Amino acid sequence: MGVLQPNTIALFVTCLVENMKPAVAFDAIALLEDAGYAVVVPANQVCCGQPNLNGGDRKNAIATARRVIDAFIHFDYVVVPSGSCGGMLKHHYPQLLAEDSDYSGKSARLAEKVFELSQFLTEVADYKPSAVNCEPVTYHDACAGLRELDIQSEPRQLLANAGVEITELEETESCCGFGGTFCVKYPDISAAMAERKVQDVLRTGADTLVMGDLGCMLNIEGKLHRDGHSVRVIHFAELLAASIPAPARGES
Amino acid sequence: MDVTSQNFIPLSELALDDDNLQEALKQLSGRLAAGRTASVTELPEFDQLRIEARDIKNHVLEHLDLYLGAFEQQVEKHGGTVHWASSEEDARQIVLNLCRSVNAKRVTKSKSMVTEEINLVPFLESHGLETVETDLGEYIIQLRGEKPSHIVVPAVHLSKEQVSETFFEHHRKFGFNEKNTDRGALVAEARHVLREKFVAADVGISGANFLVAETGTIVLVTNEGNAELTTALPNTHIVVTGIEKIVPTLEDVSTFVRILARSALGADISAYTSFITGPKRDGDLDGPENFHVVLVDNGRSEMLGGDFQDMLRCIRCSACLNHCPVYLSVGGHAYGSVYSGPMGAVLTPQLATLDATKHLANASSLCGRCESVCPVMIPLPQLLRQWRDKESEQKLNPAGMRWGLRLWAWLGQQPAVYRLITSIANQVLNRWPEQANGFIQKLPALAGAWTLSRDLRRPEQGTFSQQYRKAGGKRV
Amino acid sequence: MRKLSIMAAIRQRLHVAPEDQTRQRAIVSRMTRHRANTRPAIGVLDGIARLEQFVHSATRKGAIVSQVNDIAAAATTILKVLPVGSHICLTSAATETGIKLPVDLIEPWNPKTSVDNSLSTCFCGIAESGSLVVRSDTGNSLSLNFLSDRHFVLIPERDILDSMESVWAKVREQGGMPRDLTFVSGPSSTGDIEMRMETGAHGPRELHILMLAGDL
Repeated sequence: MGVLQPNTIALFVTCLVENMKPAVAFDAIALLEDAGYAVVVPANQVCCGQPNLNGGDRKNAIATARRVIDAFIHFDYVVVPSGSCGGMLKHHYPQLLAEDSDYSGKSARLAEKVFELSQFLTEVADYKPSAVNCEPVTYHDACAGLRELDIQSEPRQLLANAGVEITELEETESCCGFGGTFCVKYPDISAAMAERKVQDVLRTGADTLVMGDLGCMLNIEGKLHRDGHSVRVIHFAELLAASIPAPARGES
Repeated sequence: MDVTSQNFIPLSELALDDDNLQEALKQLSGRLAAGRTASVTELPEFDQLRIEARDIKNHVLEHLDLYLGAFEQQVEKHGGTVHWASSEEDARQIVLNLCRSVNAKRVTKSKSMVTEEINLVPFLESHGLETVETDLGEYIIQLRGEKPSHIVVPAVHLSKEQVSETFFEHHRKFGFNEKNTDRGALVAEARHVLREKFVAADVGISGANFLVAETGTIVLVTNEGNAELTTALPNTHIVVTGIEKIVPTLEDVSTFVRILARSALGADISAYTSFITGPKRDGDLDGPENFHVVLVDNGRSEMLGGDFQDMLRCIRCSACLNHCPVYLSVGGHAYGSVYSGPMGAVLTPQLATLDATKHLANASSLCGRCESVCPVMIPLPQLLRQWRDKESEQKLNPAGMRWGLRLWAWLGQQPAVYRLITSIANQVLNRWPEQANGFIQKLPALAGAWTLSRDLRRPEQGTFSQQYRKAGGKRV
Repeated sequence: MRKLSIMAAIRQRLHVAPEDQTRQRAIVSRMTRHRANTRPAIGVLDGIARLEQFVHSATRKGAIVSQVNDIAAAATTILKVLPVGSHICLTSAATETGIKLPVDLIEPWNPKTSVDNSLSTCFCGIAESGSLVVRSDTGNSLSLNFLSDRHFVLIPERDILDSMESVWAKVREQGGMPRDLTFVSGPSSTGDIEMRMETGAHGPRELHILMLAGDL
């Protein structure tokens, strides 16, 4: 592995970013490098274990947690471009491993190093993004990030620093209906929730919807598109990285 | 407890298509959720009160046997009698026996969720006792033969036109020969009819929002005034209550009074908060000669010392219902239980069977809004996950799901295999036939549930791992 | 016996023994200490601030509050509100105040009888929540508070306490809880039909609070 530079961030890619929208990871790297940090991508990462935790498979969630902890604990920081996966590592792992004599301490140590992307950029890096030129946007707060990590002001602060105006949704604390496997197990209820979110988005008049979680993104974007609306849906990392001259694609 | 929760899916389909219900749920959210927000925002001490309320309840639960003993002692000191019911059958029989012991013919009743839980009213009626619900919402659904759809506003699913029809059908015999459609007139009609019932009742049955151990006092919270008329006018008052409703002192119950109405309705306090201690005393101008408290266990003691103990803190305020996106989509009847919303999803499997109720804990996105508004800080999402764990253990969920999760976890241990599979899946989805403008419109099997109502963006060409390697990125 | 089996079940689940004296002492201590939990700022007001809080809180919940100098002024206020031709029933405690209302307007109290208007006194008030505290003893029929359409209550300003905790202290001073003690915090209401508030569900449609600057 070699000697790491100080202030090295290990990026936890998340499986949805890995498989659906790698651009989010590349843009996260670009922002973190722009903020002056070195970013590496550990090879042995797959999933944080959230589907198992939420699916009644606590035993395997614990096994996954141990593996993730082993892969990431040696780094200075672990940054996650998702509130729900970030919440899993920071909030749930210590609870899952509370009775594990070996890993309970390790999970607590890892939790201290784990940051969701917007929280890292504001609280640790004190990063001021370059100005982004765009019309007013609206913003969706993903539930897990909001409840487990208290993410609310951080993305707004970043967008404000970049000169992006937000027209807030009427209901900033309402679930979009994704909920992991919930959306395919109870699709009609999920669709009703997504529809309410879509209507709220449309009422703001914004052309762009910004958020920090890919699950919500796929859900709301998929509903908007099916209903024939042309609102652009992007991760805040994509919006903010757009103003960085040459987004890195794997260069450290 | 009788439930129809196994019908959650068809019931929720019906609910989603029911325009009347959807409008009612919008009203509920708009008024009660917004009301709560305004009400707690104006009280800077609210979060501190929640913490104290949680701690008081936790302390009581750890000493529940002793507080129940102290409460019983106080009730008896003031001339009342305490009865203990292990099961719902016990509770029903005790109440029936008490009614018979005073040759009761007519019973009035104020709102009590535990009496719904034990199905008391049909039982009493089957034994020849005229038993009239006096809370307006409960009265309306009693006339219609329905179950409550909300734990605080039980008739919320009905339009005033539906109420009007029901009253017209049942009130003609009381001299109301014209259909009233004005809300105020409907309320006045019920007031008139029920006034006669209050005055003629031999027995009044109430629940209890809280029991105060220090003084043997029961606390009743209403806006209508029906609890007072139910309990003060007849000669016998029977309180039916869960064993977990105890708080230690009058000072402690004050904390709960401060948070209950704010959480439930967005008012700082309800119109009436009654503290009742025993039967009529010398010098009282009215009140019942006989005062009975029926303490109901019915599965509650089983929750102590276990994974679901936190649920015993619940004060039945309904804040979780009023903020739950699932409840606000399908209403209370879909849950098939008198307890609905997040608190119902946690409590119902305990009081019924997990097999019959297994949908309830699963029909949730675990958004966590319930926990954030619970006045006694119950970790509802955590409790829902615990039910999901138990369903897996008991193999009540589909085998496919259990195996899918095991496979997923296994893949998580084999990054190279995972990357191979996902790179193939990436190719497949990119070449998917049913797509347009970069969005997939139809997927098979479980994923087909996604594309029923939304598109799925086509993944980027190449997974992150592939693109990263191609761009020369080194993994560590 | 059900009590024994329920108690045994509880102790078994909590892993405690019946003879455990530490637990017993803990609950006795708590039940006798009467320690107040956090009281909001609006519950610890004095003087004018306290009266203003009372009026504000009672009014926003639909009570009609009048501040009058004395009993005679209270009578005048009541007569202004009473519709022509209606009668009013006084509790014995209200009668004892010596309030002078025209004899032909007064109707006698009968148990379980509904009346159009009633007048009573109360034990005290609570500024924090804009509540009147009424008791089943002290010469006020409790049911009379609820069986009238329009309820008038006399309360001297100095009987308005700051919060519930002060009420409990006063109750304990005077021998403990009566059979029924009720906080009345507005007229009777319901939101059960389409979530819209209507008054007069079962109790009074109107609650008139007459705050006296002097004594009763």
